[in-house]
Amino acid sequence: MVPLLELRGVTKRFGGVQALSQGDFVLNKGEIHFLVGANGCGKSTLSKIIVCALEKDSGEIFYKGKALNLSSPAEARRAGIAVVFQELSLIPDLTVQENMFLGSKNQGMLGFVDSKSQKKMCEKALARFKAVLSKDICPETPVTRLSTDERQIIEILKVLIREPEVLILDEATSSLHTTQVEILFNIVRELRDEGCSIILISHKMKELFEIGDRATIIRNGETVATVDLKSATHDEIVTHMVGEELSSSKNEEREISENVLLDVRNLSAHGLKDINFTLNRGEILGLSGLQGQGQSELLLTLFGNSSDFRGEVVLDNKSLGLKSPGHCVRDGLSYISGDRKKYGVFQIRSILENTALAYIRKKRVHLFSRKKLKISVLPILERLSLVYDSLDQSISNLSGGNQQKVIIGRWLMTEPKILLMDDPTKGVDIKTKEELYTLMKELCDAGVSILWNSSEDQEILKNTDRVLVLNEGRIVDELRGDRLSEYELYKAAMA
Amino acid sequence: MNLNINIFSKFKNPTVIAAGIAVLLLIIGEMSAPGFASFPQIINMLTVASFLGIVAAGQNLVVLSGQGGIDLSVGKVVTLGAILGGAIANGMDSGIIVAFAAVIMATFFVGILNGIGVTLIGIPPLIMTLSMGIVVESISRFITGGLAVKGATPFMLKVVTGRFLGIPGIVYIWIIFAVIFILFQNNSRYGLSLYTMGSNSEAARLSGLNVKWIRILSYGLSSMLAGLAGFLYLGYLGSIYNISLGNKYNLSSVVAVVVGGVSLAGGKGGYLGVAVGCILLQFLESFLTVQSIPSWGREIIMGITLLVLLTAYARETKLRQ
Repeated sequence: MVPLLELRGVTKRFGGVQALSQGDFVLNKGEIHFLVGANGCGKSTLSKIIVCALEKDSGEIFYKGKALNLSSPAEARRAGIAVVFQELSLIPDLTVQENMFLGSKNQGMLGFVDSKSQKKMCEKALARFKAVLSKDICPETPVTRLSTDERQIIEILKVLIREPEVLILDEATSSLHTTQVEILFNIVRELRDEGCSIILISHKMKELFEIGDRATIIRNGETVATVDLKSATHDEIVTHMVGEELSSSKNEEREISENVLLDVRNLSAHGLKDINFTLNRGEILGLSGLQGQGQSELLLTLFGNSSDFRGEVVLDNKSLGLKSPGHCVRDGLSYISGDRKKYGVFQIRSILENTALAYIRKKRVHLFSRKKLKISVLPILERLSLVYDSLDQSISNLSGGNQQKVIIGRWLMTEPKILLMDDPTKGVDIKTKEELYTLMKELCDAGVSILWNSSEDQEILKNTDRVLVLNEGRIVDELRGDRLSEYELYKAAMA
Repeated sequence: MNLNINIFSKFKNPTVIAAGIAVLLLIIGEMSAPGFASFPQIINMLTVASFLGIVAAGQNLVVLSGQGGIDLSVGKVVTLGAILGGAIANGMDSGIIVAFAAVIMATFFVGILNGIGVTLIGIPPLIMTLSMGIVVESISRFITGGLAVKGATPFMLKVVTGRFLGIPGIVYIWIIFAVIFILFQNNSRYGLSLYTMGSNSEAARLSGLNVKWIRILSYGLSSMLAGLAGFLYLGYLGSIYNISLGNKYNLSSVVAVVVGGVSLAGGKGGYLGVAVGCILLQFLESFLTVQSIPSWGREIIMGITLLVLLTAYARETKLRQ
């Protein structure tokens, strides 16, 4: 039998990063096929190449036995390949109906909109999800009035009314409730039975075994295996995902005091549910799991960015109010983001100003002498071995890694008790990364504690004392000692 | 080689450019109309520039705070400061302290309202401050009842126009003000907060700053300085016949700030440049007057100057993003 869609040796490179090095993939007619893999393994890249949202560097794609050469997602749609991405593409000011038919062929005479037949189709489509949508949603409802999950459903319907032969759902279930997912899966099964083929990208093992026929596992940009889900096991898939582990690179065990510095009890907030953990003095505690499971939200909430949190956070036996970043800074917390440009660096301002701001704020200094300020900044920047010409130089002239050092310096000046780090090594060169790891250990030896979220699994497994695994805003596992491995990490993250 | 780069970058410094153009204007003016660059004439121009200098200092703060910050109520607030001060003091030195305090507090309050509208309610600065200007003008009209206000006290006249070494008091006031203001910008927590949040508001908030309050305060101070300028202006004029006397400060304070190298995107540019910008603007206006260019022609040239500068800065803002 000729497969419906086949990819042979597809590759894709982004600058210096090989996102996809060997993409081989076979999709049969009438099957539900999952794409699985660790963070940043290339799943989304592969699916984007299929619909030509990205151009492949090399390799071949066959569709219905013939070579497929697309030049745009619109062409892919015309050929019968449609995709629902995670990022919502609806236009908020238009109505449900207008959004659904935006750019579709369903038009009346002379290219005018045939709104009557559109309305009928739209109502029919909405009826499928009737039980899980708000009652007052009709084709005329503007999309602004819909909630996130309802928008996701409209997004899916928008693709479904075009009756594709190949349907790709890229984490389409992540913003849906359980009952909504059930209905979606029923529709997906119906579609399969009608002969449509569906590619699903999902992190949820449960979904995989619930409705999947086959799954292709991607590791570091390479499609390593395709398994039949009727016979495959959970363990088998996780093993394929993480591959042979280099167990020799184990981190040396550090002596951590049993002295609890931060105690988080029953913390709930937007994107977080019932978080409980303790952070010891001098400990590096990692936050991990699949991306976007509440790790960043946890750090931001602890830094006073969530007005409606519930639960208790106790630092040094003192309950924290977490009212604003300003309050948190005074309580001894600090926050370093990987998105330096947006959340860290003051472009065009000097290194001195970038380093001293939080210190001046925390110490409530009203007037200062720049000379004296420079003297107090120097030892910190020296400790970070920052390379620069003069303190009056603009921070924009420094490399990404050095900018991050300045921001760490900004916080070290405030003598924080806890560093909250949200993917701090993002876009930092390897040499500086190693320096940062060493620095983090030194700081912890000096009594500072670090709560560290990272999107790089290896760095966090190697450089932390313990790792909390998050899934959908909950802590699902705690890894320490021998269990600090990618295998355990993904087993917990995808359960 | 390094030296060359330094000299080159000095020439790119807006303050140096503005100062250079100002000197150039003096030379050309002196050539075409002898006496233009004489000491008394320069002092006259500086005297008039002083008031703009104080208004532009406030504008400087608001623009530095970033996120499109601009205060277009300053013109009307200058008028309010003059009229309110005059009405309360009513020509008597005994009332001067009350008058001064009332002007400062009332105009600060106006600015705080501007700040609240912009930061807490989310009204675009342009619309908020222009609307506030209309309200302020009506208040001024109400105070005067349509009649001239004769309110400058002998002491005010003496302080503002009285000369020492041939230089009127207001110029000394401006110089002292400028020195304090520059120190305030560079060496106070408020100044540092303003520069950093103008550069990146979110990062400033995540560094522990109360960004909203600092922004509200900038609008408050801007308005207060405009009120102060108006109060001093009353001492210069003696009495107020014209309710629109402050209007010109709206545009010229923005032009002065931009000429002085302050980025409208926020976070960049200090008062030294702004002060030079004010002097340059006054030189330019006097120069055009001497060239017998009517007032509408002068306004056209001011407008074009601003547009050209904004075009240049729009490019820079894009580069920054």
